[in-house]
Amino acid sequence: MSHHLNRAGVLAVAMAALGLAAAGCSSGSAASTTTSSSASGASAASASSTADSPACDASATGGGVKIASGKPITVAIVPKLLGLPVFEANVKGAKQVASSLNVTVDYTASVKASGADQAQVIQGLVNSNNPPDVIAYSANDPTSIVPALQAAKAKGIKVIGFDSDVTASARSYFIQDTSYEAMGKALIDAVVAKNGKTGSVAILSSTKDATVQNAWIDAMKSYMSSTYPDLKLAGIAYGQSNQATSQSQATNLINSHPDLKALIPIDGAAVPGALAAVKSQGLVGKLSVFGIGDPNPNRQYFADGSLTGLFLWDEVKQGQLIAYVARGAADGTMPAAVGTFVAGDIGTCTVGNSPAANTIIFSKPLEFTKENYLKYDF
Amino acid sequence: MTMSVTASRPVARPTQSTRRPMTTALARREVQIVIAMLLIVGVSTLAYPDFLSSRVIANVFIAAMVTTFVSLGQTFVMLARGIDLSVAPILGLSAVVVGFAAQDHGLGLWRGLVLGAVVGMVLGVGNAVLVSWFKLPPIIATLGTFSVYGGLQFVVTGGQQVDQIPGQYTQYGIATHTIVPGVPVILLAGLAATALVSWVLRSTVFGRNVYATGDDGEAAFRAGIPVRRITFLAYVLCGLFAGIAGVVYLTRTGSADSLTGTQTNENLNAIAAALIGGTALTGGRGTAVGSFLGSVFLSLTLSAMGIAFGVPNEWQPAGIGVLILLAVVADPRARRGHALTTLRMRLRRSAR
Repeated sequence: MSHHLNRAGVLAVAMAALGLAAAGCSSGSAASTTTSSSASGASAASASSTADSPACDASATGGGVKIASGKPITVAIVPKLLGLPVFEANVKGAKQVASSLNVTVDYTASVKASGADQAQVIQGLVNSNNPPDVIAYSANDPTSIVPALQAAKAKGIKVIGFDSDVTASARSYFIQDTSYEAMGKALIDAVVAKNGKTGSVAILSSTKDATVQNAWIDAMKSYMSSTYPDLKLAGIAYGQSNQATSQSQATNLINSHPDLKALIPIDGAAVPGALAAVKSQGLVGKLSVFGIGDPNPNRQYFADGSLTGLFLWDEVKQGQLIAYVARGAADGTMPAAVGTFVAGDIGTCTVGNSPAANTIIFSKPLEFTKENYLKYDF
Repeated sequence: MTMSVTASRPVARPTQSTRRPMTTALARREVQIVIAMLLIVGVSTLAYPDFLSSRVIANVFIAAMVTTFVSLGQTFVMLARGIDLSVAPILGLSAVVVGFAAQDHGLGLWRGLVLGAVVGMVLGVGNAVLVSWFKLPPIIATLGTFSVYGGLQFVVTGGQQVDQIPGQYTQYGIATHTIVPGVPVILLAGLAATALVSWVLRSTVFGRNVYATGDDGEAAFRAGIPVRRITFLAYVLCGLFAGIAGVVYLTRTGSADSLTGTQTNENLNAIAAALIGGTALTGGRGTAVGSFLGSVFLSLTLSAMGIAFGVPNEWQPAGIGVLILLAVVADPRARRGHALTTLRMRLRRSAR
């Protein structure tokens, strides 16, 4: 036994350990299993250049094309991965309106958040004996599934996206969760309402290349500098879409900026990570936390008062919109940009060309509070 | 080490022959770490005065505790001249199993601790069987189980996340939760575990046999030490501690998912802590106190990088890697041992 171990030697063992760690690291960041907002969608690049179209509005009058039922169709919803509560909520919403639209919802995805795996799932749908009429994706990355989507298109399958986009030419319509500017404004307004117009805040994001998170950061920065110049951004840290890493990064932010007034975690893993850090440092009530994320992982923090504000959108209603847009895309009744359509209870939605072509902005930011979080289950 | 390679080979008294020089050398390494830590604290405080606040210092200790538990287990294996590369997914599986039980079925903390330990032990037995019975090289065996256990972690979670850990658990991860004033409870747990392992290694027959097995397996075998059983138990204990570390992780973060353990590089952290603490990859040398100090040293270095010097966290894996290499390079006996081994192998080959 000692002989072959001697031969393996110190260096081999050390290198194996290092290599293993590196492998763990890279696979970890690829499978960011948090909320749908931990996206790396493609649409954000031009976010700040033009004003976004208005979000869907139930109270708006005027309307436009009304999406109605038709011949039976099948919609395959292919999110980034299986089992994530936010996507389950999307599917639940789509199924709620499916029968009234004569739509059958088929929910399938890979078990890992991987672009390559997702491409295989979509290709499998395209090649199956019974292909769906519409494929609705939330992309793991902007490029991996594009060839599979083009194959779908070539076969006459309509392609729509939600939550995280690909190159606009590969799909017909994209349902963006919310306007980036509106989200940035909502967060900063909430911080100011709680702590006043001065002081310093810090942001905890997912990764440096997360497109959606970066769009939110830009939106917050420009809103702060234009409206609240005395509010300072003390720092930005990155939790790698991992709760433990988010927690240690948040701890570092807190300890390196003792005068911090608010922490703004903007990814599904960053919110509970930041809250665990605030709690662990004994700062509940002294440091406010405003984040972007889904309410379920943060229930205990709503209850104990450490979470002062949380924003997202109604994932169930977004699922309903997926069904409406799928119906409209299959029947060819969707309006051309810029035009409006009516999607049942969701109201009047606009197909616009900002931030990307044929984009429908689903919702204004929805604030979850201590009072209302129990109404949502995602 | 030198003794064992050259003279002590046929001599059947490994315990006596290695004990005294080993302890003095390791005492030196422990003193080195403490001096290095004081230097880091000093420099960090100069760069950023608030670094020397009770909050930051308490956090350095509690942030080290997950790694402390994993590296205490790893110390058994490394002392017996093995290595366990599957501790990260063992930690992760324990965390998700206990986490789901606590979240969905209200499993209490003490039972959770027992469950985590049992999960860890069972997975440790898997490694032990492969290494001790089937005689697989530890790197191969535990690289295989790394993948198997990591895969099982995916199966157990099914993509779901544990995020509603009862406060009964998470209250212990808080810096301000103390019994002895100023000392977080979780740090007391880490200290107690370190003391226990230290006692086992220094004062029990099993502990001395672990050193003997790692120092020179052949000599130990000839001396009548049940080398296979010792190796077996070392891997089981390593699994046990990784399983407990999974519960410690839950108290710290209140969450667990399919990548817990692996994503935060617990393999690397545990091996690094043991190496920095003076445990030799060549076996037979190292202490529990060293591994404890090694994990605190890692935590301190990372905190200093992040808080006092604003180094982005992308640099952490690279930083840990450098610390490992420094720890090995700064250990003249490890290098000499390695060089001697190589030389001996060459001489043997040329003699054939």
